[in-house]
Amino acid sequence: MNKKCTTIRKNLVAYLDRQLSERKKQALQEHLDCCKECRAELNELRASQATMLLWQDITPSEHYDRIFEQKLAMLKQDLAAAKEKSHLLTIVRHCFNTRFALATSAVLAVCIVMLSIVAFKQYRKPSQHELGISRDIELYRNMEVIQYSEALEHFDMIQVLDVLGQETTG
Amino acid sequence: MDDPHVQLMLRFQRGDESAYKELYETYKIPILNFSYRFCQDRRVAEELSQEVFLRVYKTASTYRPDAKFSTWLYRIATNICLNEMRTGKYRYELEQHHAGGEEALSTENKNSEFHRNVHERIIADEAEQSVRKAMASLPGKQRAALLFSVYEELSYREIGQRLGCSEGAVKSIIHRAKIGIRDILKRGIPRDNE
Ligand SMILES: [Zn+2]
Repeated sequence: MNKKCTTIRKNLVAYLDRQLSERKKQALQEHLDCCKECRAELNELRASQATMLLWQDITPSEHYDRIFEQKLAMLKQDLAAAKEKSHLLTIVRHCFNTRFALATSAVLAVCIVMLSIVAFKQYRKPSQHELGISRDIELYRNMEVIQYSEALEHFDMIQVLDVLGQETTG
Repeated sequence: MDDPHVQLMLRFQRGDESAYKELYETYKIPILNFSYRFCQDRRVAEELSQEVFLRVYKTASTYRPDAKFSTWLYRIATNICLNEMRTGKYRYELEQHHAGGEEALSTENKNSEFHRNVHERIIADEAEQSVRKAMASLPGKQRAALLFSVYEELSYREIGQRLGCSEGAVKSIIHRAKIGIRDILKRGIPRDNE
């Protein structure tokens, strides 16, 4: 089999199926006119195609439609049940998505606001006067150390401390 | 899309059940025969073709009219047949539940051929047996492509759309399938040269 025949035979099936371009079809027909082997090959393919067409169609059996109707009715039931279920789910999801979520976030927001008010009230910046007092207390504590060691000997100092203490608490 | 079956499917999508019924009546025999030639068992084929129409009902909402209706329908049918080929689910179920029911059906099948004369029928049956055997030897996708080409005379382009592959791929699939069938038939049945 020469090279030309090999190429032609690759296209024989498509030729029988009328799927070749006009150009390829013409080239093939020209080759068939002068090549007995390729013509024989084509006839074999044509014959096997004809044989395949001998395979008869069947018709649905007697109960085909009735059985199908039953299956369809069952499917419809299933679909309706699934729809019902998904409907319920949607409602629940809807509640969770909108009302529930809204309510939750509102409650949370109120809590946060209240907590921050309380916290703000608890903590405010100390005034200069208060800062002064806290410095004095610090001093007072340092003096306290002295107080213990020398208390009895330096009674005057204790008096000073008393004055200081009165100032800070007053 | 001016395909009237696309219009029917769209009508069904909008809830018109009579449109679905019309599609079922139009396609039940072609789909049954496609399934039958694919799996070669009448009862399994009936189950498979019914499953195709149930699938259409179930997945109607996902249908998009971007091709001919038959393209979509046969894509479903091919998937269902390939799936059965892989799992053998219906074949197994039928074997379990209806052991012994084969005879009644095959008799009924033969009835349609009754008018043919005996000699013709024997030859036809013989040829049919060979074709069946040859067809069964093909891998699933080749088999589907061949059925579309031989029994529906579809273009390679349309077959490609049904199988989700290119025209070139279809050309080579069908070439291989038809050469294979030709070889099996040549060996299988004695035949006069044309
Ligand atoms: Zn040649």
